[in-house]
This record gives sequence, C-alpha cells and structure tokens, in this order.
Amino acid sequence: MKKTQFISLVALLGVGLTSCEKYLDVNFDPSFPQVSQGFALLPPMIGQMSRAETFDGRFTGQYTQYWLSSAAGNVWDRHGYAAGSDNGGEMWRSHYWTIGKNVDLIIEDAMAKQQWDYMGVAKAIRAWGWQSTTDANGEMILKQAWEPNRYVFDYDSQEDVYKEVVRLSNEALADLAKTDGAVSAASLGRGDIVYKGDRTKWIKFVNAILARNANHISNKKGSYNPDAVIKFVDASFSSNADNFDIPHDATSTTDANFWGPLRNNMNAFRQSNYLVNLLNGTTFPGAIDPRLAGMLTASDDKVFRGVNVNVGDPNNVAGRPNRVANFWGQSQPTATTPATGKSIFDNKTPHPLITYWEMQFVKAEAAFIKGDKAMALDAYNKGINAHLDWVASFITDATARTAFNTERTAYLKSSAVAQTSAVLTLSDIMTQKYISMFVHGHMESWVDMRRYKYSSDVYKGLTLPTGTTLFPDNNGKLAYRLRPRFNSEYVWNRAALDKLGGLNADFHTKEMWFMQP
Amino acid sequence: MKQLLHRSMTLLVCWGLSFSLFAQDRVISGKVTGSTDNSVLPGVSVVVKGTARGTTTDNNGEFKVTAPNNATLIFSYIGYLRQEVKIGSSNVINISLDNDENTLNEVVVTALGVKQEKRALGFAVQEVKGQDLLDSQRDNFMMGLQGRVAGLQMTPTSGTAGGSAVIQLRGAGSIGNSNQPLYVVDGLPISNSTFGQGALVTDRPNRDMDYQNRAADINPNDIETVTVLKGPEAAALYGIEAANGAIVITTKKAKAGRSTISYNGSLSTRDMYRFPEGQTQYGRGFNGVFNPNNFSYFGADINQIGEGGGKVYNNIDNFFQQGVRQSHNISMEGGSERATYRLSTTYVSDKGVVPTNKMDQINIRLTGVAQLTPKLRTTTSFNYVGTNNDQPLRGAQGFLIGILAYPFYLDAQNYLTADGRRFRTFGEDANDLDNPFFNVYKNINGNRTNRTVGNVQLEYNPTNWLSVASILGADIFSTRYNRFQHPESNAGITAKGFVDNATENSQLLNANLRATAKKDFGKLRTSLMVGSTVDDRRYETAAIYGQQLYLPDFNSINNTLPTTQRNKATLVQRRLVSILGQLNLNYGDMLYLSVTGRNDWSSTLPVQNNSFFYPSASLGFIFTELPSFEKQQQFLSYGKLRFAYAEVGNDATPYRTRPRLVPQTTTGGGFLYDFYGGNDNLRPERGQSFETGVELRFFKNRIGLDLTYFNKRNFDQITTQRLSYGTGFIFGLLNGGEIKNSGLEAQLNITPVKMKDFQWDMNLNFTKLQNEVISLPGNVTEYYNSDTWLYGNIRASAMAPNQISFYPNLSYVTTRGEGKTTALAGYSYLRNKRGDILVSPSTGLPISNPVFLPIGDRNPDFMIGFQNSFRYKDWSLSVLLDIRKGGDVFNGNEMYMFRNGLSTRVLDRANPYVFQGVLRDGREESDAPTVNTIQVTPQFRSDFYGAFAEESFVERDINWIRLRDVTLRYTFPQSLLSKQKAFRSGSIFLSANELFLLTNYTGADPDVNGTSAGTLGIGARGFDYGTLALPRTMTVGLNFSF
Repeated sequence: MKKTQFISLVALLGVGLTSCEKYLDVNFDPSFPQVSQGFALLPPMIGQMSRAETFDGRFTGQYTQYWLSSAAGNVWDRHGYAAGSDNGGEMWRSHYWTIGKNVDLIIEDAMAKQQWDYMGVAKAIRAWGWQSTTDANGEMILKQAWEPNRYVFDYDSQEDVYKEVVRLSNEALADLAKTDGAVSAASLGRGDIVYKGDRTKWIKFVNAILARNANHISNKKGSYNPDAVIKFVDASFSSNADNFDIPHDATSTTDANFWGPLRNNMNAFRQSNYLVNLLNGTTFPGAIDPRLAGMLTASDDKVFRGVNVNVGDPNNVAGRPNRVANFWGQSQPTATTPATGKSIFDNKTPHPLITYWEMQFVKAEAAFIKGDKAMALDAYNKGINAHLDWVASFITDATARTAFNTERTAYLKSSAVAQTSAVLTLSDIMTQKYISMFVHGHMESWVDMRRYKYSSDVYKGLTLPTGTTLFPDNNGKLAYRLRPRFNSEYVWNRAALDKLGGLNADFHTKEMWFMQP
Repeated sequence: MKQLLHRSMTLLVCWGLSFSLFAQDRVISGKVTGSTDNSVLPGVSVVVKGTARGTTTDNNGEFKVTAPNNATLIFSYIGYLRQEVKIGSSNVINISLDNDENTLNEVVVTALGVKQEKRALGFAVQEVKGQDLLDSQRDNFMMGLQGRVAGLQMTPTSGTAGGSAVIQLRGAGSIGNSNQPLYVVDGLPISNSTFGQGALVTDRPNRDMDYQNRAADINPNDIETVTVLKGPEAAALYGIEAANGAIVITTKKAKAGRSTISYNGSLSTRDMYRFPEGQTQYGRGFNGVFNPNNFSYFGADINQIGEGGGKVYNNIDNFFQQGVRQSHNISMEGGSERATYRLSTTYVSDKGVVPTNKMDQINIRLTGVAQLTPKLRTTTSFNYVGTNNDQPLRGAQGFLIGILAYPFYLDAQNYLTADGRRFRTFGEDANDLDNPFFNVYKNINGNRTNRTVGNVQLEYNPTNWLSVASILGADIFSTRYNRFQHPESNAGITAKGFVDNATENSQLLNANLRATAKKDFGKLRTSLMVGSTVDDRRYETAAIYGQQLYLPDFNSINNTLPTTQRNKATLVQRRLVSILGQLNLNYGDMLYLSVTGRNDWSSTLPVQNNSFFYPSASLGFIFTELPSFEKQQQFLSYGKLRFAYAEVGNDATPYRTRPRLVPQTTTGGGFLYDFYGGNDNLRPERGQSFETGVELRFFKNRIGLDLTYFNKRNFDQITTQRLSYGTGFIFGLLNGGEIKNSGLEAQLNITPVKMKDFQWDMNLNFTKLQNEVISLPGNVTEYYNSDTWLYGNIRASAMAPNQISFYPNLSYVTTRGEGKTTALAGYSYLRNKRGDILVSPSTGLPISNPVFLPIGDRNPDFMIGFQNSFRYKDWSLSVLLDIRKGGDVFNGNEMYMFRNGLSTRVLDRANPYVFQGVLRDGREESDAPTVNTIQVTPQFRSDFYGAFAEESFVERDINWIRLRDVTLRYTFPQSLLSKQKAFRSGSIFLSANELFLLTNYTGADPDVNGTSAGTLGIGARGFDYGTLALPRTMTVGLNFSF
C-alpha cells in the first residue's frame, strides 16, 4: 500500500515533467507583436526619416546659418557642439535603431511573400540612411552593424559607406524593377504614405540618392564623374510631383511637422542675416526675392531682420518692434499662445526629403563643372522655378498670391538671377540651391558648404565665426562633422571612436573623406 | 499542467480518506511547567518523535497532540532541557522541564515553511518576533525590520503615509534585475511588487510618484514571527525567487481551548522635523539684478529693494501639517482540538504630514486549522486587504521642490487668485513651479488596491516515517492607479491637464507538493524530502491616458478630449516549474549535514536554456557536544561551526528573448522595434555563495555571539545594457559581468542583568557589506539604471574597475566608487594628471568633465542595529538605535538650491571667490601649471553657481545615529486583573519612531530613496532629491483581551 502511494507520487511528478514543455510555452508577448508586416512598418519608418533630418537640422541649420540662436554665445552658432548631449545624433539614432533592423523585418516578410516592391523600398530607405548619416557623422559602423551578440563595434571608412550606398541602391533598383510575385501598387500603397504604391517614383528616389552620392565627391578629381551625376539626376525626379514629401497629420506633437508651431522646436532660433540678405536684394541687387515674404517673417515694424553669429538678438525683449521675429509669423512667441506658420513652418506641411529642384541644382553644378554652361543654366532656371512654385503653393490668400507672382516675374527678370550662361557662376548655382534648400535641405546645404569649405567666393556675404566667436575647442577650425550620437558611441563604444580621434575635443572639425580631393 | 494539479489534489484527498480508516492515534494532553519555579511554559514545542507532527503549548502551558500508540513525545523549549517521554497508558502527560542553559533548542521556520531546530542549521537565519514589529508601530512592517537583523538593509522611499520600502539582504547581487528577497507567508510566496510606471501610457520612470509595495499589505497584527533567510544557502529550496534571500512570515494561529477576543489599538501623531532650509535674503533675478520673472534667486538683496515689504513667510511650517494615524485591531480566536479558527480585522487610517497624503487600510484575515482525521490536517487561510493610498507628487515636479523654490517673500497659502485660478509668481509660463499647496490640492495621485490571498495546506502523515504536505495558494489583487494633473499645474500646462490611469490585475498561483521520509540508523538520523512546485504569475495592466480637460477640476478620463485619449495594454506572464529535494543527516545531535538540489524550468528563457539545476550543502557542527567540552560548559555553554555553499540561478524578464515592436504615433501609425534588443541564446543568471559562521554562548546563555562571513559571486548576469546603437537597439540583452558581494554579520546578545523583577537584554546586529565589480556585461564602463538619473547628471551605477583605462584622452579620472555596484556616477571636474581642477582662463570657473565617472560610493562601512530591552516588574522598555558609518549621499536638494541661488551656502555671494585649481592654458599638464588667481564675485556672475559639478554635491562618509523605535509598555499584572472578570490581560504603551537623528549630513535625511521600490537593480538609495524625510511619530496605545 505504502509503496503504491510512493510510486504514484513519483509518477505524478513524471506527468508534470512531460506536460511541462507546453505549459512553459508562454514567452510570447501578447500585448506587443514580435513580428510584423511591411505595410505596418513602412509608415513609421518613413516618419523616422523625417525625424532624423529635422532633429539634427536645428544644429546644422546653425552651421549653415539658415538660422542662429536668439541668445548670444550659442555653441552651435560658434561651430561648436553640446558636450555630453545627444543633440546632433539623431541621424545616427534613426539609421541604426528606429529604421535600423525594421528594414530587415520588411525584407524578411517581403521575401516570404514575394513582395519585391516592399523589399526594394526597404533597401532604398536603408541606402538613404547610410548616405545621410555618413554625410553627417563620417565614419560609421558598417560591416559589423546589427550583428547579433556583438557589444562593441568597429568603424568603417566613409568611402566604404559611400560604396555601400551604391551597392544597396542598385539592389533596390533591381527589386523595384520586378513585376512578378506579389508586387502591386495596391499592396505597396497600404504602407507607402509618400508615393502611394507608385514604384516608378521610388525608382526615381533611389536615383536621387545616387545623384547625391555621386555629386558629393566633386572634389575628388579622380573619381568624380559629372556625366554620371547628370545621368542619375535625369533618372530621378522630373517635377515637383515626384518630390519625396513625408506627410503630417498634425493631430499631436508626434505626427506634426517638426518645424511647425505645435511642436514648438524653433522658438530659440531666428533667421540669420546672411539668409535675409540673400533674399532682400542686398547680396543679389536687382530685385527682392518673393521668397523673402513667402518664407520669412518681418519684425513688428514690418522690416525683415536677421541675427548674426554669436550675438543673438539684442532686442529679444517682448514689445520691442525691432525684435527679430520667430518663424511663426509673430514676434513675441510664447509656448501657450497658438501660432501659425507659413510655408514649411506649418503643422501639416509635408517634409520634402529630396526634391526635384535639388536635383536640378545638382545637375546645374555638375554641368557647370563639366563645362556645359547651357545645360547648367537650364537646370539652374528649372531649380529656381520649381522652388518658387513650391513656396507659392502654400500661399492660399489670393491677394498675397498675386503679390508673390508679381514679385516673382520681376525677380526672375532681374540681375539677381543669372540671365545667360555667360554670366552664370558657380556661386549663383550654389547660392540659389542654398536658398531653395531652406530648412528641409539643411543637410545637403551643409554638404555643399563643406565641399566648398565655407568659401565666401561661393557663399557671398557669409560671415563665419572667427577668433573668440569661434568655439574654443575648435583650435581655429570650422565644423566639418557632427559627432556620432553621444549616448550610443561616446558612452558605449569609446574604444572604436578613439581610433578615429573621436575623443579629441576638436573632432567635429575633422574634415570628411567626401570633401577631400 | 492544470490537470496535473487537479490530479494531485484528488490523489491527496483520496489518500486522506483511505488512511483515516487505518488511524490508531490517541489524543494526548497535558501541561508543561518549569522545574525551578513551577511557572507554566507557553510555547513549548511538543513533537511526536520521528514525525513532523507536533504542537506548542498555549498560554496556560497546556497542549494537546494526536499521537500513535507507543509514540514518544519530545518536549523542547529554548533555555530548557529537551525531554523525551514515551506515551504510556494514560492520555495525560504533565511534565516539568529543567533549565538547561547549555543547549539551544529553538525552532525556526526555514525554507518552504519547514520548522527546524535552529541548532541543526548550517547557515545563518535570524528571527524577529511579530510583537517587536507590532510595537514599532509601522504601517509597513518592513520598516520595522531595520536594525533587527544583521545583513538586512532597509531603505524607505520617503516619509509619506503609504510609502514604499526596499529590503536588501547581503547587498545587491544583480545589477539589472530585482534584488528584493522573496516574501513567503505560511509557506507560500506572495507578491511584493511595486507598480512599475512603465505600464502607464506615459511610460514614467518610477520617480515622480510612489506606490506602496505589496508586502506592506501584511498586517503586523497577524505576524507571529518573521524569519530572515539571508542568503541562497538558506533559501536554496525556494529557488530563483530567493536568490536574494527570503523573508519568511508565519502568521498567528489560534490555540485550542478557551476563546479569546483581543483588541489592539493605537493613536499616533507625526511631525516633520527635518527639512532643507533656504536663504531668505536674495530675491529672484540674475547677476545681482532683481527680476521677479526670473526663476532663480540671483537677484538683489530684497531688504535693499524692499520687495515683499521685508516680510518673510515660513512657507515650510505653514505647509506641513500634523499627521495622525490610528490603528484598531480586533482578533477573535478559539476552537477545539479538532478545529481552531482565528479572525483578525484591522483598520488603519494614516494621514500624513503632507496635506492630502493618506493611507487607509482594512485587513481581514481568517485562519482555520482542522485536524480532519488523526493523520490529515488542513490549514486554510483567507486574507482580504483593501488599501486606499493618496500620495503627493515627488521629485522634480513634487511639492518639496515646489516649496523650496517658492518665493519666501510671498505667502504660499495664497495659491489661488480671486477668480479661483492658480496664482502665478510670474508670467503665464510653464516655468513657474507649482505652488506646493496648489500641487497637493489640485493634483491627485492615488491608488486603490483590493487584494485577496488564499492559502490551503494539507498535511498528511500516513505512517510515522512518511509525511506528505501540499500547499495551494492564490494571491490575487487589483489596483487602480489614478493621476490627475490640473491644467494649470506645471506638469499639466502643455497638455492642458491630463488623466493618467491604469488598472492592474495580478494573479499569482502557486502549488507545491512534497513528501518527507525519516529513518534513524542508530545515532544517525536521516530525512529525505522530495517535492515539486508550480508557479504562475500574471500581471495584466490596462492603462488609459487623456489630456485637454474640459473642466479643470474634474478627475475623470471622460473629462478629457477624446482625440487625445490613448490606451496601453500590458500583460506579463511568467511560469516556473521545479522539482526539488533535500537530504538531512544528523549524527548524534552534534553534526548536521543538509544537501539540497533544485531544478527549475522557466518560461522566460529560450527553450534550449530554460532548465537549470543548482545544489546547496550545509554543515553544522556543535563542537560543545564533544566530550572534551563538557567541563567548559560553565564558561562556554554552546558552540557551533557552520559551513554552507549554494549555487543559485535566475531567469529573465518575460518576453525579452525576442525584441518587441511598439505602436507608433507618427503619421500613418504602425509598429517599430522597441528599445530592447532580444537574445535567443540567453542563459540563466548564475551565482555561487559561500558562508561560514560560528555561534557561541557563554555563561549559561547570558552572552551569545553569532558571527557569519559570506561571499557571493554572481556571474552571467542577465542585463539590459545600454550599448552602441550598432546593435540596432538602445539596450542589448546579454549575459555577462561578474559581481562579488562579501560581508560580515555579527549578532551579539547580552543579558547584563537577569533578576526576578528586572532584566536587561542587549541585542546588537552588526553588518558590514562589501561589493566589487569584477567586470560588467559587454565590458562597458558603467551600468546604470535610467530611473535613477533623476536630477542633474548623476545616477546610480555599477562602475567597472580601472576606469582610467577606458579613457585614453583623460589624464585623470575620479575613482571614488570605481569597481563598485553601489557607485554614484556623474559629472566631475576636468583635472590634470596631478588631480588639480582645471579652470577656464576666460571665465575663472572650473571646467566640468561631462563623462559619467565614479564620484561616490553609497555603500556604508558598516551598520549597527542596537536594541536594549528592560523589564522591571510589569514595565518594559525597548529602545532601538540604528547606527550607520560611512556611505555617500547625493544631496540633490542642496544642488537644486545651490544652482538656483536658494542655498544658505551661497549667502556670501558678495565676497570675491577664487576657485582653487590651475588654468587650462596649455600648461596644465606641465610641471608648473598656472595656478588660478582669477577672482569671481558670484553676486554678479550667476554662471558661477552652475560651474560646480555634481561631484561637489556628493556628501561623503555620511554617518548617523538614529533612534528608530522606543516603546514603553505597562502590562496589567495578574493581581490586578484577577479582581475583575471582563479582561484577561491588558497593557498600555507609549512609543516613538525617529525620535532623533544625529548625522553629519547637511540635508534633511540621508536615508531616503530617489525612486520607488518599483525600480530594479541597485536602486536609488542615497539620492536625496524632492523626497520627504521620515517624520517623527509618537504613539499611545493599548491592548487587552477578554
């Protein structure tokens, strides 16, 4: 009797063990998915592309002097950086994390479902990430990126990253060209909040990335090929309808345009005098650029003003009529009073990641370097007009629109714009590009400025910080790179960073590979 | 598995029925007295020899026990000779026990609720009587444990009513997981969770609100004893949950016989008596210029400019109120030999020193014990706890920082304007902190818990050598969390007010079954236990958030704009299945060996790694049993050596092996990967622990000494470590790192005086803990808990050793706390290789080093709990001192006040100041650096105050002597009580908590916690920022029974 009982007890334990496996199989999160599908991943990834550029844009906007701080002595104004901060590391964050491995998740899902369009789009996004992030941060973790069970990462050269952009773009183009399998505009359209499933536009987008990639190495006499740049541009956007516009629902701060008043990111910044002077006839005598009123805001006394490097706005006091306005159409911003913005400064304005007019200016520059002045002038004109069209599209008030168009006609005919290929200069092209890239294209503008080493021959009227107005750690040099994200690399990957000189106080002044001959 | 449970239960019941037929037991009763004075001895252990069956004598020294024919009863009681009596023909056995101060036969509760003679143990355990905890008059019994147990470190979160507390035993073994011990009530694990704010829609960091930890639901009125199993050696059988030790609680059970009704009541008042005080001379402004719209107090001397009419308000005194706590407990117990019951109901109402802070609790506990058959006994308990807790906001947006920052020349009581809106000290701006009154009256932060704990135990003794026991339990609770942020409050202004709610439903089910067989081989007595446990925990949280309130004062989610409402559902489930076994050998009551083994299967680990086994072994050697010691017994009455070794394992947080995707609110919605990377090859955490100790009793137990040394090594730790984003995530999940904890625990018990009418007992608990980081996971420099990064750039971190090797470009790094798990990491000053602080030649101010380096170590040198108890006739007095030597504290309140011009340390701002250091002029690393001589007059240079790095606000080597508890009690003597019939016993008492604190700390109270008990890892002990100090409590109370 006793024996039987003991045996049954042991048997009981045995039963427990065999059914154990199933009982313990509860390690799947029922509240949050651990796999997903392309159409559910794509919209937030596209959102992150915008976030990446805009967050860092606050600071590259200062390096490029689209705007400067309203307060004196700002470190970014002075081509410095904020120590111990993640500011300037948003591209890094998006490329590796918020876009990061989500790309692989799409590819995995697309592979299983033969959705080559999703696969191509995912690769295109990653190619864009490599290109934009390396242009901001230089050397990157390339070969070891996203490797499982790896805790420290070596850096690869920018040259390698540039090659990876080309490789990945070509793969993306091949995928996007496929029409077999489960490829369909309706399917891609479920997740594609930019092109609504139109693969041909994605192909143009990839060519735009390749155009940037080929154009950024213009200083490299050996490998720079203007014809290749022109070829890529021609395969890219053919009008503003092809622009990569990331939409904003603007129901809350998380889905609203970064530059709009709802997010309130721009309260501490004021338009620069350099920019105001480009538009108000000072730098380009002849006519006032219609974009002055179309994009910028005047002080209460109706005068358009800007601020200079390191000084801020000495009149930044409530009630002063000469206080430099902020970007939302009022001169006395507060966090709680509602404000409206014009052009890109409105809550719902889509973020144009890469545009037709940018491509045209890229073509103009390449053609100019190549020596084809006629082609350069044509592209230059197309670029200016496309941007003017875009600015005009935000003017809803009929009177204001008429005024804009009148100014536009006068401006285009004036000496402010190069009228013939004979008078067209590189400075004309680059400066018009700079104007047209205002706000959304700060990173591309910064690439341009760095390629020309902030030359005042190209960027006429640009006053740079020098001497005591330059950040003290710079050792007299200007900023040529953003540091990799602080809480990623400066804290957790220091050894690799040290090999690049990344721990040096003046690392941000180290010139990048792409700009070197 | 559920089927398995059903089956096992059915089987158990069947056994019970079948064996009852074979019962041949008798009920033996009797009375036990002491041989010297014939006094009745309550609490004497009466055990049927060779079985686990037994009882203890009641208050009248009487007992009843069921025993088979020819059985032998063993009577044992601390301080008396153990006696064995063979049952004869009579069913009544009256015996008297002889004093024997040479032996110790104390019985303690060990793992799985098993009672063992303390002398048989090869590891350190310590027991605290429920009465001591009750006398300490704390709502949260955990707070009463500080100082009463060596190796135990308790940290309260704050001095609010219903605040949480954290206990760590023998330091923190895990840098990223929980370090809390397991809480076990009557053999069953219960939850001690503290709500983690990660489940809120707003995903908060456990520092702006506090919630009670669930172990605080245990009513001190119901606690018979608390046994502290300090290390894995003692708790090995509990498995992974007890890697950090266990707090084993045994509740009171009724004694058979006459029914008793008892009342236990107390009334307390609480007062704030320690507070950081600010300066009252300089007003708001900057660079010495008065500006009422400037937040910081770097303006002019207000007496000179006449601001506020020269009036200074004592906003602090006006704000705090007297807290009042009342507690009433009624318990009824009674029953017969066959069945007893005990019903205990308690009502506690605690109104804190901060207005609106309160904690109300109703606690009902019913325990029934039934001897169903002579061989089958059941114990069933049911506990309901209802708690209602309103806590003020703490931390950066809390009332405390608000009160510090409020202009002293304004009366903070006027917090509303004439039209009922918030009175602002400047502009319509979010920068103006909440007026503390507005903060507590207009914002709401409450939680309401309903909890039910049920526990069914069956003990079945089919033969005298085999016993089978099973426990089934459920701990089910539901808590509703509510935060209401007024639209005009600082934290609510951008959202236009918000409601942040969550409802948590938790369910812990646990079942265990074990069989114990005993057999004696001459002088060798053996017992073997095998068992199995199943544990299922499920925490389900539904959270909702909404903003833009329609009505500014109406606290409901329905009062928020529907388009702003957001939901979040979180479900966490963990299942664990184990088998375990234990073999005990006892040779001649002199040498005790115990070997245990346990294998766990956890649902949280990848299938291929989810099974892990860990053994333990302990040896106790009572060397005074050796014949050669017989003559020494007048001096050395008792001596024991202990050795124990245990391995432990630990599993992971559920669902982490694969990364999860979280919903996005960008345009178009969708999902993206969360912060946390996965790891499909994750292994269980491992640890090895060794302890050795000696117990000595001298002069017939008048002096007792218990010394323990332990050494724990935890490796392969599972951490969510911040890494390079090259991983694809912010946090990687990895195994790695190695942490060592070692320490010395000593208990010294001395009875200097022992007379009939007067006795003086001294009880000293000494704890010295040391920790060492051998390496961190991923070989990083620092592991930090982001919850603790609560103000400025300083946080609680585990720091790798040899920090300088990580920083090739620095010639000098601060090293205090280097290689410690209890480090403070933060900004320091940039220094040259000689350690001189570098000063900027352009500003004359020091340059801070924005790298998180070790700048402090919170680990104290040692801690002492010193209790003195005096008994004179019917009076007793107990005094508990809590002493701590060393350990650094971050005085965040002072940093806040300093950086905002409020600290009294910055009153000398008109005096020119030369910062001691060398100029960073290019010669700083040379042999002759330029000594700084640049004079700064702080009054006109407000940037001066920001130049002091966090390093300067770490107060080093903080000591304290704190009078934790004093209780004076008068027990009505029997001579008085016998004159009436109504009351059988009674006493009245006076007690006080936190009567004084002597410390070299300049802030209010160094013993607070910057985060709630919900924070994992080492926690934010020693972070004093925005947290209330412990108030002083005075209590009167009485209890009587009839």
